[in-house]
Amino acid sequence: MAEPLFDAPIPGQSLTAELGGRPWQSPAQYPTVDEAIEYYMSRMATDEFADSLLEVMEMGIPLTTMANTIQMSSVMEGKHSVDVGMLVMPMLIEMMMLIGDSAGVEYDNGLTELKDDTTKDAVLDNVRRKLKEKIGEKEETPEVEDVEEEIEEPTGLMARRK
Amino acid sequence: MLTNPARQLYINMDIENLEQPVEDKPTGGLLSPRKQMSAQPTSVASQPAVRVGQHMLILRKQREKLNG
Repeated sequence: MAEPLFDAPIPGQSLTAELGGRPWQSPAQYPTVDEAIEYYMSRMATDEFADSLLEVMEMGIPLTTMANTIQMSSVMEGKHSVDVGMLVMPMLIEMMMLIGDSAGVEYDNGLTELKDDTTKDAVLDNVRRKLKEKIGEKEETPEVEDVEEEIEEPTGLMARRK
Repeated sequence: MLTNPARQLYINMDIENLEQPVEDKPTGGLLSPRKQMSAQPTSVASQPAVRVGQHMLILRKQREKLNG
């Protein structure tokens, strides 16, 4: 069974701000793909960006995750629309790969499919915790002894004789 | 549920087989039009995904140069 999400928005939360008050509700700053590419290129070409990107790459975070995060934050800032973000995302990955290669950093591009034989630590911890809980429950509950009920042999007149 | 479409989007970009823009050869006749009648480009290159692909191709070539 899926565990409940506690960080989900409260119903009606989207109505708490004035319509058009959020950056993504107003027209995008860079409405076309070309403008968005230009924006990203100029941003990613800086040394500051490259340094922070390489740090994150060394931490082992996949480039696909980073590309999605970057474009999503730009959408939230009202830089471009979601559609433009989707179109631009492959180029962001390619650009990050170029930065990683030019710096000689080993990175996870996130393009390979997750293998089934690799299990994440978080999953293992979860299983371990659940097992512990189950073992604890078993120790607390007293074991019920299997008592065999003695079957009374019929003693009536019509009972079968051995 | 797919939460990050980046992988699928990257894989779907078939940049190796991008259609190269074909340049129109100007005709030299006296009655030939000096300007194109329609300003709207009709080539595939006008599509945003193709333009992104062209940018990607440049970046990938740079990467291939680096990696050898």
